[in-house]
Amino acid sequence: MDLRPTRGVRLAAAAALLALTAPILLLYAWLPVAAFARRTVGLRPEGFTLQHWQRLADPVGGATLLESLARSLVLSCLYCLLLLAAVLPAAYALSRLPLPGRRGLLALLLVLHAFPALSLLVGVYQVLRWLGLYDSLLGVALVKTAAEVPLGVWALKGFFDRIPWELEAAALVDGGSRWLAFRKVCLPLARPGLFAVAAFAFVSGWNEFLLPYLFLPSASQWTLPVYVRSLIADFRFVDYGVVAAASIVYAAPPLALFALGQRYLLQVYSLGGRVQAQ
Amino acid sequence: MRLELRELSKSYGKVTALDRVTLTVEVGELVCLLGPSGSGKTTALLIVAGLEEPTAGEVLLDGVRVNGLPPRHRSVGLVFQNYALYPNMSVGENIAFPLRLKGVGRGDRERRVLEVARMLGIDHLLDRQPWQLSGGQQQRVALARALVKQPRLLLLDEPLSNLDPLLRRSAREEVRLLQRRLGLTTVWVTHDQDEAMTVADRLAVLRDGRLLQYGPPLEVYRRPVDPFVAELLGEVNLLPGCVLPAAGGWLLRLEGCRETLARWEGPPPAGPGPCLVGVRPEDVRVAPGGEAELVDVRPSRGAQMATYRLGQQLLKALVVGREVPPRASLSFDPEGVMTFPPGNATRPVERC
Repeated sequence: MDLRPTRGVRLAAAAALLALTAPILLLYAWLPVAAFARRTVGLRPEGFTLQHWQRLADPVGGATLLESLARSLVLSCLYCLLLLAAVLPAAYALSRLPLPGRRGLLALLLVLHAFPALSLLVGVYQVLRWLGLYDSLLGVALVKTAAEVPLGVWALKGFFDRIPWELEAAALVDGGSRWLAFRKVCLPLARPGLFAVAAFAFVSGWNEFLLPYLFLPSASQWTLPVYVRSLIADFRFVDYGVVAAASIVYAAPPLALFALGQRYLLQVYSLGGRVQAQ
Repeated sequence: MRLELRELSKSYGKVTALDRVTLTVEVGELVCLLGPSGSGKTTALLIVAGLEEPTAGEVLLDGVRVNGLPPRHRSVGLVFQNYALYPNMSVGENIAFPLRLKGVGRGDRERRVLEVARMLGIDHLLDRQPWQLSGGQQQRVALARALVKQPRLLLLDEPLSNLDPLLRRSAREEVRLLQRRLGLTTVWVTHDQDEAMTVADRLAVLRDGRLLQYGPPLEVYRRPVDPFVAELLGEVNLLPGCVLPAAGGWLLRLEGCRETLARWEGPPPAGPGPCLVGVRPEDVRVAPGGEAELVDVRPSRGAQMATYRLGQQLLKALVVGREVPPRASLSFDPEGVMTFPPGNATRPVERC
C-alpha cells in the first residue's frame, strides 16, 4: 500500500500552512518595503528613498544604531560564553559522574527553570547595585546566564547521555586520562549539542529586552532592542520607515547565524544517529 | 603477563555482582569467563581493565597489586562488545589513537598501524569512517586498536556476539590463532559455551558472581561440579537414580526402572545410594531391541539426536549410525556418568 499522501492532500496541506503563516510573512515582507519607500499605502510602496537609513545615523536619545548594534553583539557573545562555561561542566558531571543526590539535583534544576525569574527583579537589582554591576553589560549577561542555566544544563546533558559510555572507557584503556577522554572523545561528539545551546543562547541574548531595559538605564548602554523601542516611544509621531530600517538591522544577525549554521546542524544530527548506531 | 584475582568482590548497593572470585591466568594463556548474563563476568573484566574498582579483594598483574591504578597504566588492551570505535575518527585514526596518546612519533605510528592492520587484513580500510564498515570489519578494527600498543594482557568482552553465526565461527578461529602467535595472555568473556569450549585453554564458569569451576574445557565438560555447569556446557540428561552394590562391583539404575544402565568394576563415582545422574547424549549407548521406546529424532552435527522413553523418563542419545532403532536397550558409558547429590537439580526432573 502506498502510504504517501496523495497530490490533493499535499496541496491542501500546503495551502493551509500558507494561510497560517501568511500574517507573519506579510509583516516580514513589509519591512524591506517600508524601509526604502517614501510612503506606503498598505503594502504598496510609493517612491524610493534612503532617507530612513540616513536618519538612523543620527543618535536617538544619546545612542546611535551602530553603537547599540555593537553592544548587543557584545552582550549576546558574553552571555553565550558565560552560559557555556557554566553549563558544559555541569551537564557532563550530571550525565557521567556518580554524584550523590544526582536525581534530586536534576529535579531541582527543572523547578528552577519553572520558577519565574521576573519575580526576583527587585532582589537582582539590589545585588547588581551592591556588586557595582548595575548599568553594565557584564551584570546583565550574568543575570541572564543565571536564569538560563537550568534549561541549558538539561539540553546539553541530553547530548552527553547519547554518547555511549564505552567510547570514553575505550579512551581510558587506550591510554588517556579522564580529562583527555573528555576532550578528545566526549567533546567532539557533543559538538552538535554545544552548537545548538550556543546558537539558542546567542539568539536569546540578542532578543533579550527586559533585562537591558531595566538594568542598563543610561542611553550610552542601550542594546539594540532597547534602541528600537526608543524609536517608537520617543518620537512624537513614529516614523515607521526608520523603525523598519532599524528592524532589518536587528533581524539580520540571527538570520545569518541560522543560515550559516543550518548545514552544520543537519550534518550534526546525522552524526548523532551514527553515534547511536555504534 | 600473569593475572591473578584474589577474593575479588564487587557490589552495587545491595546487588552483588562478584563474590570472592579467585583465579590465576598464566602467561600466554587464554581463559574464557563463561556464564549467563548477570553472572558477573563483564564486571570482572572491567575491574581487571581498571574501569571499575572492586569492593574488596585484589587484582595482581605479574604479582603487583594494581587496585586503584588507572587503566592507562595497566598495559591492557580491551575490545568491547559494541566495539566502541570513535565515530569522529577514521579507521586509521582509531587504530593510531593509543599510539598518539603514548606520544609515539608520526612515522613510527604509521608503520605500526599499517603492520597491525595488515595482520588483521584491514589495511585497505584505513581511510574509511567506522560507520562505513561491516560488523566483522568493525570488530577487526577494535581488535587492531587494542593490539597496536602491544598490550601484555588482552581483554575481550563478548567480542564476537554481534557477528552473524557463520562469521562468528571463522573469527573465533582467527582470534585464537592470533593470540597463540602473539603468545598474548587473554581473558575472553562470553556466554556462548561453544565459543568457550573451542577457544579456551581454561574455562572459568561463573554464576551469580561466584566462580563455580575453573579448569580445562574438556575437564569442565566431562566433570562439571554441579548440574548447572553440566547443562551450561552442553546437552545433558539429568535423572534421579541410584548406585547399588552388585557382585564384583557397582551398578547404576534410574529411579523406577529395573534396567542396569552402567556397571563399575572398581569404585563408583558416587554413592552408594540415591543420586542425580548426569549423562551426555554421546555417552548413551543404543542397542536395538529393548525397553526404551523412540519418541523423537532430529539431526545434530552429522549424527542424530534420538529421544527415548524409558519407564517414565525421557533420555537423549546421540546415535552416529544411520539407523535409529524404534525400540532400544540403553546403557551408559561408565566413564561418562556424572553423579550429583540427590535433589540438586536446576530444572524439575521428571519423576518416575
